Amino acid sequence: MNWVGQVGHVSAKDIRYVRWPILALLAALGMGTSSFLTRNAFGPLVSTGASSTTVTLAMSEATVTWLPLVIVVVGILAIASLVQADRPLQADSFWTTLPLAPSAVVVAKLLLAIVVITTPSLVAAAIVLTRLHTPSGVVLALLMHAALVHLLLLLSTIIVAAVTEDLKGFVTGAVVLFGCLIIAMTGIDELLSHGIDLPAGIAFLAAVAALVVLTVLYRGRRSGNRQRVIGLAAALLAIIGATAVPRFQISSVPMRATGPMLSLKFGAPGQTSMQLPFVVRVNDTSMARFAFARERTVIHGERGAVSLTPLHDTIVVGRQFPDIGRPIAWLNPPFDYPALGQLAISPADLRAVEQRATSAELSGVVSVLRPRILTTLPLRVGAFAEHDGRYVSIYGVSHDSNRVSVYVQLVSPPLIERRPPQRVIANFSRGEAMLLNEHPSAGTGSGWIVLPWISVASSFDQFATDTRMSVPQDGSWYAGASLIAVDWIPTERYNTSATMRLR
Amino acid sequence: MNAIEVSHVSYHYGRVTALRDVELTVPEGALYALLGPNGSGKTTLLQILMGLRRAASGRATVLGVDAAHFSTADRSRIGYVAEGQVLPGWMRISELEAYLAPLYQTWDSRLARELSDRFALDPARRIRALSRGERMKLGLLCALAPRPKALIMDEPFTGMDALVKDDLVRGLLASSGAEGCTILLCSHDIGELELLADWFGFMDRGAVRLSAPMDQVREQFVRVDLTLPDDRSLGAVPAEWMSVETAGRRMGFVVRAESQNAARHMVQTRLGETADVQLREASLREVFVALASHLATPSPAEAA
Amino acid sequence: MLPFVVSIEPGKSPYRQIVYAATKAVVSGELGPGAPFPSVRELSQALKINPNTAQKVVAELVRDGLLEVYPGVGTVVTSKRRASASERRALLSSDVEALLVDAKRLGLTRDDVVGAIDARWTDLFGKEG
Repeated sequence: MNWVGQVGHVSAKDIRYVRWPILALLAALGMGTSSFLTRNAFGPLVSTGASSTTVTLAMSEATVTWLPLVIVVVGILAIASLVQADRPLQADSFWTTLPLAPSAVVVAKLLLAIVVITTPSLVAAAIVLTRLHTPSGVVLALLMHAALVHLLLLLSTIIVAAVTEDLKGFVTGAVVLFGCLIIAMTGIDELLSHGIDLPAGIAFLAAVAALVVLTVLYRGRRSGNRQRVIGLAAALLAIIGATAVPRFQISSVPMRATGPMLSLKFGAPGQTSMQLPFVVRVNDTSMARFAFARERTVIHGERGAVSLTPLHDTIVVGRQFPDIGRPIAWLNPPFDYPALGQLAISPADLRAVEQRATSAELSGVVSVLRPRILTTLPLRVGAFAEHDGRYVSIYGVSHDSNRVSVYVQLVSPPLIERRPPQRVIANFSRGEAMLLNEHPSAGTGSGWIVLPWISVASSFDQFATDTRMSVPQDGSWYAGASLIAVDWIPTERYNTSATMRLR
Repeated sequence: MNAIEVSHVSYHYGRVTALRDVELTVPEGALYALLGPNGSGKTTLLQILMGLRRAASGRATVLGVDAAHFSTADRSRIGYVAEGQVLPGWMRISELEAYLAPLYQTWDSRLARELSDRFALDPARRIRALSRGERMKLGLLCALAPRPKALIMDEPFTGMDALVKDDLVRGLLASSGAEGCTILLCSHDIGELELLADWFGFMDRGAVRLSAPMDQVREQFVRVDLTLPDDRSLGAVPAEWMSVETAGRRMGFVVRAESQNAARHMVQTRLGETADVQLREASLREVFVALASHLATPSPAEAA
Repeated sequence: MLPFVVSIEPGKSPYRQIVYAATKAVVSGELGPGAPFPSVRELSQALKINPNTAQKVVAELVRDGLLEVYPGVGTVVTSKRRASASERRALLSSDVEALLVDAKRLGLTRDDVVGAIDARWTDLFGKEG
């Protein structure tokens, strides 16, 4: 039987061996996917009691937390028992004397991990993401990341299973590995807190190392403590590598040479010498907003220049009301609050600043944001839409003579370049609209879509009109109104710096 | 042409030397019984021959191929049965046969069926439900059905009851021997092997002390029983006399000589013509005990 | 199951023991002329001996003229000749030797031995010759 035939032969036996765990896995995937497709997963969770109905503002924990864990654990146990069925390191192991190439056996196990465990999980996640109309570039990035993380985890599983005797030994090995991982991660967190990221190369290095170690283990056929230590080290590296897998989401916002300038005006010091507010204005009158991501702050003084500890904040300045595509009269009072930033000075830099500083120079990247309507929903409870990777749904509406409130849920996988959208209530036939303020969230939560490395976040928020605003009094206005969610999308970027005088 | 050749093979478990400078040849078609006490290194040697362990030094070849470099084609010609082999418990017997058969071009299903009947193995039974004896029979079936050119068996009869041993021996005889299959089996018990083997090897403390055709062993190992004459005292017991027992004037021992006559001559030279000497071929068990308890220092295998 | 009696004891070459038992059976008429003789395989199976040993046994018996091999039919006891008296006597030689050695050890004379044989023969078989 040639090599390819051997791989198929071993795979066929392996599938028979783990058919029940595989079926359990597929059932779990089916349950999870259908829960998302019927939107039960998003929540809110309604439980009807004897006398009252309780509504919990959260996603279904069973679907977004437990099911992904079950899926991963079942997959791991299936692979572990599979590897231990043809243990490479037992000197009289049955298969080691058969006319089967060790490489064929290893490849059969890896193939099963990829085809029968990882792939269906990715397909299920893809179905859910597509249902949310997530942009295909994002879907691809999320799936690639998830695939690599999952495969590194399964590689790690295969190695630990190969160097342990039985499932009990495997669990022990996994616990030991977990312990080492915690120790390793505290060290890594130290690095991360200093701003050093794990290079993505570690992920690929870990994968290669794991494959090499597996090959050596299967061909050496020796068992002993040395093999166990090497195996656990490779498995540990694989898991650390899994944390370093890059996200693949690439920003497609083009970089320009210049853009509208920012002007900064220093204000009076606040309560403490730490709070040093300044006003930001932009020299632009278009429909855009400008998000200034600050990178460097330099204080110039008589004694020279001092660079402050980086404070990576973002100040948004510019147009307040979005363009919703047609002429509309805003019922909001005119907006007159300028964009404010804080020139926060850490104690370490305080002395430098007090030395007769004359001006501060802030530099960073400005993203030009332009409005784009995400969804338009009729203003009533239960209205929902899925677009551009997000699920928007109204779970409450209330209005009285003073105020209008809308309660909106937003569910989204990780999308770069998307901030929470603005909410507007508009009645197009009357040509009137109200921009709503965001209030502290009633409930945020996060979970996973099928696999624990495809996260999904949900927030239940209240949006209400400003108390100084006079709202329409007749019900027919609201009957014909819509809730519009507006994204501010970055369309281009440019580097800039702005200076303000401190005295 | 030698089916199996072991030359200057050594192996260590950490600081313990399991095999020291082992030499062994098994001619093609022979049924070679390798005997030795527990811990003498037989299992380690067989594992090296199957490529499950790598010799620290020396060379071991089976069917002309270095055991450290078996290809799958080589493995399809070599069968292996070991005590305590881990068969897939979750499979039924029929499933295991169906799994193994395509791996060998020479799998003989008619023989597999015949052995299955002879061993009374119900194909529908799950392997985890089999007793130890049934597992050994199944292992033998799986090793014999591909009609191997060489069959290596590690303690196949150990711990088996008499009925199982009987079945195993008959199963072995039914399918090998006549077709030029070379069999090397090791055991720490003589049992069935006395009549089965045509070559005999003895291992002790990691070295092969004796390796010879069975006929030669029978001819050369002589059991001597004699009565010491009153007026002669023996003095020191010669070193070549093994398993020496005395009771009064009666004395018995095992000695290796070129023939029984040579042995008689040797005894009479020492004790005089009047010594009442009875000679016979030593049984294999007596040879085994004699070699095992002989206090000679370790030496390379005696030439066949 | 073999058509003649043989039990293999340690201390003597199994091959010679089987040849001896088979020869005795043929010569005494237990295995009549033309009777089928077990094949090498059957012999090996029944006695659990190495097939090579069984092969040697059959070869020896064929060489001695006791068996004939017919291709396609198998091995049969020869129908050609009856063993001569001296050949039959030769079969007893080792038993006779054992008897005489024992007698010598017990200090018996030749006449003692002959007398003992006579008496025992009469007991077992009566006055036949």
